[in-house]
Amino acid sequence: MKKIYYLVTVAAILFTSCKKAMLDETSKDKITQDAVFNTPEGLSTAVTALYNLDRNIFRNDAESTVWTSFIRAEDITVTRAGSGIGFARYDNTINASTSQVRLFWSHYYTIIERANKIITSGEQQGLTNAEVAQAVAEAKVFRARSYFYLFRTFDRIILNTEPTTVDNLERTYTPANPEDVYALMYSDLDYAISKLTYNPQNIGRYTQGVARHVKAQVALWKKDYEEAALQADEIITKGPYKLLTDPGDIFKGANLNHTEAILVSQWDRAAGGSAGNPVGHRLAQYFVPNYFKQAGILVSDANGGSAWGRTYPNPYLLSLYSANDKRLAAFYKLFWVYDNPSTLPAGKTLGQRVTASNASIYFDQLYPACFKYVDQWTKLAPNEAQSFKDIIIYRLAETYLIGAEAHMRLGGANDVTAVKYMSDLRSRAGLGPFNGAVTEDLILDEDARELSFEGQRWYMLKRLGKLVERVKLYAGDPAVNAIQARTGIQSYHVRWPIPQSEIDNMKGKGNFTQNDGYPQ
Amino acid sequence: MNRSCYPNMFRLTLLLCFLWHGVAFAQEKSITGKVSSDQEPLSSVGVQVKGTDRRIVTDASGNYKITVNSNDVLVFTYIGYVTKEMSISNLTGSILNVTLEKDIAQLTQVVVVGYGTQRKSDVSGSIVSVKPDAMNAIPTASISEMLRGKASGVQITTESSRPGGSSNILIRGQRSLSGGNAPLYIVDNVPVNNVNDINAADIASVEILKDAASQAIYGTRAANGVILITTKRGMAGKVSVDYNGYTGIQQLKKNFSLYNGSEWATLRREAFRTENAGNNYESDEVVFDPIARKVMANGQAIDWQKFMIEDALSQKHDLSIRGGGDKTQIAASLGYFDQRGMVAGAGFRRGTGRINIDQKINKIVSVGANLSFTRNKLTQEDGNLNEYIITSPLAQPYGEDGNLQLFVNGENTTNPKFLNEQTVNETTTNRLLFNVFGNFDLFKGFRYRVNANINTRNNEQGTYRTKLYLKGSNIGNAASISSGNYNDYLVENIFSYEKDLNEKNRFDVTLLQSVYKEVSRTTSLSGSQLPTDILGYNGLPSAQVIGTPSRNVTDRTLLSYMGRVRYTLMDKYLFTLTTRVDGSTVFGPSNKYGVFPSASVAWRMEQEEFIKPVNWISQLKLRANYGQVGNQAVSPYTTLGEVNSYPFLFGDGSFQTGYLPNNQLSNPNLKWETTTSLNLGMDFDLFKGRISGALEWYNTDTKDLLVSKSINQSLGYSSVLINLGEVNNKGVEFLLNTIPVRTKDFTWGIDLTYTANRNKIVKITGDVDEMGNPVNDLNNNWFIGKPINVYYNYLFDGIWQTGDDIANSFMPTAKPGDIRVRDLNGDNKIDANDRDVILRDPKWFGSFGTSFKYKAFDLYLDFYTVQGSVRSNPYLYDFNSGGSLSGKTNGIRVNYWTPENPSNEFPRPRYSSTIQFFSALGYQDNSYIQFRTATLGYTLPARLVNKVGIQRVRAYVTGNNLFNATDYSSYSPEVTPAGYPEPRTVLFGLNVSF
Repeated sequence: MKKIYYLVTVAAILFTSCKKAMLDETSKDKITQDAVFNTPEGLSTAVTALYNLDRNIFRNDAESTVWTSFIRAEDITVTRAGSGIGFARYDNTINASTSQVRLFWSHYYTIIERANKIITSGEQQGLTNAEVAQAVAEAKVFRARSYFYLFRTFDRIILNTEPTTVDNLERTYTPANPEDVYALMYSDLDYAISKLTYNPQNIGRYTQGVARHVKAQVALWKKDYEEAALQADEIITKGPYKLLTDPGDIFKGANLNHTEAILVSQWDRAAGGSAGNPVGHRLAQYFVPNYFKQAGILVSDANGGSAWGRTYPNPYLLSLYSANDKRLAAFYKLFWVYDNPSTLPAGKTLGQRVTASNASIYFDQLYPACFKYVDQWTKLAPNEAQSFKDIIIYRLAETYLIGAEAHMRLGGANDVTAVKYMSDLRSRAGLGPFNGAVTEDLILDEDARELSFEGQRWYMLKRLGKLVERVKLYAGDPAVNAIQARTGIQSYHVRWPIPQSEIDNMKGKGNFTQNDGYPQ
Repeated sequence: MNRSCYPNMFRLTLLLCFLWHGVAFAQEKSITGKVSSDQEPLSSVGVQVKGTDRRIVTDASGNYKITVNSNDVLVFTYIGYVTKEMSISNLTGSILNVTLEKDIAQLTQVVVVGYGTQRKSDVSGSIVSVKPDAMNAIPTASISEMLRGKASGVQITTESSRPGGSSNILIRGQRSLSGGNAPLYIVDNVPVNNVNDINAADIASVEILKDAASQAIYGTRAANGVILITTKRGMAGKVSVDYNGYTGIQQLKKNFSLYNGSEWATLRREAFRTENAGNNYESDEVVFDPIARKVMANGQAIDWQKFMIEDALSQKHDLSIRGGGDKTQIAASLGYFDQRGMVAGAGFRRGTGRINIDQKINKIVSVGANLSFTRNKLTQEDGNLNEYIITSPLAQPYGEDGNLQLFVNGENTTNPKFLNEQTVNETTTNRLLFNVFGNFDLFKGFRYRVNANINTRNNEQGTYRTKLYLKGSNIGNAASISSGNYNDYLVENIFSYEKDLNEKNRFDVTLLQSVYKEVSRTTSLSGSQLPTDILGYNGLPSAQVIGTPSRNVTDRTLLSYMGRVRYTLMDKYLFTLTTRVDGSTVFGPSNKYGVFPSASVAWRMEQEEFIKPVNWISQLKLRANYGQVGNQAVSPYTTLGEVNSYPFLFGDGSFQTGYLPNNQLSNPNLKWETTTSLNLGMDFDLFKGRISGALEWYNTDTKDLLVSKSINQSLGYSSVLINLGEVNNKGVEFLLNTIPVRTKDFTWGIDLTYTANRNKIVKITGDVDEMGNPVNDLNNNWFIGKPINVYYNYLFDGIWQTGDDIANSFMPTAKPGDIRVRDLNGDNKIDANDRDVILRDPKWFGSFGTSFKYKAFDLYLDFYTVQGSVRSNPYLYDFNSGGSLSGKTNGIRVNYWTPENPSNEFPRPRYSSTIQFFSALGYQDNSYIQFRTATLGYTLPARLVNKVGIQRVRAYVTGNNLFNATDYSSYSPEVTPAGYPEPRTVLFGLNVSF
């Protein structure tokens, strides 16, 4: 009996002697924010994460349609099908609830907030530490690039440089004054130019070249042509970049970190080299027609690999090239030939060009393709519907065009530097030296020839006030009955609507309303 | 041997003589007999010789055999029956048959109330007991599904009907917006996370605690209700052996049709025609790929549903042994459950074993142990079942060589059957529960109980896709292995004291202190480009490309104290007061502890002098209670501000890992959600059990709801978790059991349940707009004053027809055949303000069960109904579900508009552009009446089976999920057609007792 009392007492003491420490919590499998934002090494990892986040713009949903939305909306493309087709048709499916609109908005604002956090934490830690300064400089390029995308796309945006916490959620929202947006982008980029070198610690990181290139773009947009010219000249004359001699080499290979490339989105099937585990992007099949539906054509990398047949170069774009322009063969595939003996249709011979019996089949299966993203280097099988090929974001050819335009604005159509830049670019394309006048039209045409399908033309047309006019004239292809854009485009389509969820959330908190033209 | 031994020896001899004499004096004999009630044999009735330890129980046929002395008295006890004492001295012969009367007032029937039991008549909370008998015949491994329709206030919805799938339980409406709404399961005094590990055949009783006062003893985990499960234990007496088993066949049941080959061809031609500038049909060359044209020509279109889904078997076998002596009792069981999938590759098999032991050590100490083991294997088919709906019927699953081929048409659509055969996806789970307890009855009325438990659950999932597999970016030759390890530990110290002060005053006190800890770990590995398919996922180490491994560890600790006082005055007035204090690791540093008090009172009116003369009232009890419980809805580590890892491989081959917060802004101040509720109830029993039941009304407010508050994306986050919201649930529940006929040969019973719950959001974030009105959360579709579950969309108003004056309407750009939605605010245009709230929750649900017993036959019919609920059906509008009328995929057949068929139901098909407002017509009434179960049983005559040593044999046929009357187009009203179809099952079963 005594033993039992003893046992009970011991048990009671044992189990009731619980300390407060028992309820303290520490994470077992993840790092917490304290560790990231309070040390220089932590800030470096935070910046690395931004490169990963930013890459998702090429694969933010199953069809990569966020980034391609702008390409489809240009004057030099024609779109057959796919989610987000409204961007190509300028119809009422471009509205505040369109998923691409929200994805684009949230993509860049997420990067901005994380950059704000890195910059603020870095300033608190002290910018004299080289590692901190490097992280802050890269973060500032992220912030400037993100604001530049948002500003060009939506016109009316929210300017926010504070890191978000639970204590500062209550805000009033007013559309930012464009001057303030420019001022922030300029100061961020100036800081980055002063801190970053041309030779990054790791290939794929932001460099002084990237910061200068973005600043040149921003300056053009601001009509600050002297600044644009200065930055372009700086990159061309002092940077480590060189135009590749053969345009065919620009998009050749899994790894595109060559001397012409200024900023490249890094992709690889290995761990850390893709959007997921391992998940690639879809650009390789996006701009190739469904040639595989034709009997007698091999599904091969040379023929385009896996294909989705979404958006193609339109006749207007192809008409801009002269026959001796090397870029025509380097960037496009204009037709297919029978090359599969086992499925060869009766009456056809190998090597014979495949033709379509009518316009719909032509549009679906045999339309000219853009081969800039076609990938024969990273896929396990030609049929694999994803790619791990690098994506070029900025390259020196664009810097040449920016330089040419800036000098043309400053010194007129016959400005020596403008003509030289144009000449260098055209010579590389095999068109020989150029000594004519550099006009806005020439810049636009050269941009189409050189930088088609690279994601900047829609903005260029908008900047020059030519978007509506050009789309009405050239977008799509009447031969395949795909010219909805020409009648669909309205003046308000030069900017995207603000996402409906954002409008809903801002109700009662300031005066931020929907962009004009879209349903309020 | 020394001298002093002699006197002792002498005394011993003397004693033996006395004893011998005594034995010779009392005449010992053997008594046999049968215990019954209402002509039904009663098994497991305790038969004890009064004043001795001699005790046995009756067998399955109610028979007993016991040795007595001629002047002994036998005591017959059985839960729910009036105890009877019979003297042997008057008995002539050796047969004593006894009839026990049901204890109508349920004075002695006890129910499990948590941390102890209570006489049913003394219960002052809202507790429903569910008899397990009917549960075991439902052919599923899901305990929740077995509870469907058995208790009012308890709503069961199917989450997945696949083999091994589970169902959700919602007790008295949804309280939590972001946290879970699943109840807390306590099995034999131990909290259990995965209740489907328990074999239904082992269950002795299920009690559902519905009101806050009953739940409050479980504090911060109880807000969604508590389900107490008690498993069968051994009893002294003859060893009983029972076998229960069934074998059944599962069949597909659906209420929709797909387009067949030619119908689909017509749809596709229409979709192309719509986009033709001249409104002309395109040639088949344009519309169809060569293989589709070939299939059309030879008329061999394929019905993918038929091709993929076929009848499948399921079976369950359970064997149990129970028995014991005075000091040791054991119950042991083995179970096997096997449900094959109706889709090749899907299946679930489970083996269970359980041993429950009770050992009395001496008058003070008794100990016990429960040991249970479960092993199951879940296998799953490839891909998504909606492929069987959306894949084009103009396709060839077999190639020229007669083998399945990857691509079934000219558009590279993949073949689900081929892919299914190239896939392995299996999960094996082992679960072991070890529970020991000791009771110390230290002095009269005082008991100390220690309860310790360890529960461990390990699982491993392996997937493999062979080299032949290819579906978009899902390339074959890839393996993954994910293994999980879960443990929980519990130590409870419970002190209880009960005292009858006098005839009129009884009270008892319970004090509890406990520590509970959960740890869960998961490791996942994946890889691709394996050299060979031979090893399946076990070949993962040889993969040439290895994916990023993932590792998750979570733990939470709960530290609790609870006190309860119960007081009974004059057997008429019952009072209970409880308080629980819970401290949890998951809450923010300033909010670690929560306090949850409750009080309840009940009035047993039948004990009052003015009711006692009314002899048709056996029981009439009024109850009122008020209490608070919590919801530990915060996940571990949420308050710490964890960051995600973002690996990045730079162009120079440098692999670095970045860290940043994810899309949800971290909040260090999180705490539990608090639910306060008032419950009023009445229990009644009239005409000696002919009519009995309960009526309940409750009003529940849940505050500090964890709300994932959407914040402006321009702040860099999509949401922040914050304790802000407030939800109200009000409802009535009614439970009625009647026995209209009760004669010697024929009994007819009817059971009804009815539940109506009204859910309302009272507060979301507290934000107000410029007019001072509270702001709704449009991102989550939460509206003040509306239920949590709503849709918010445009209202479908028909199809624009050819003659309509569209140009001057509020939708001027529409074309004939487009969807017309309602201009709700009448401003002559359609914009976001024309969306309206559509309520989803059922207005009421209930069940109707009726049983007939005629001699050896028994028949049981069970119906379940949900009324007034609405559900969006993506198969009527969504592209990925085949509802877009694009002609690109097959889908559920609908009456669509064409210039020749001016339908007002569905719009005109369009090949490439999306149809505006399409989701507005996807809302279907998913009220339904389900004929859930029909069972016909026959018990073989005892005389026949007793000869071969068997006590009882019952054979039965059960039909399950026989039909659904509903407008919702799907396999069943609670799952979309992409879900695994809920089968109709017909099974044959056998109960045998030895």
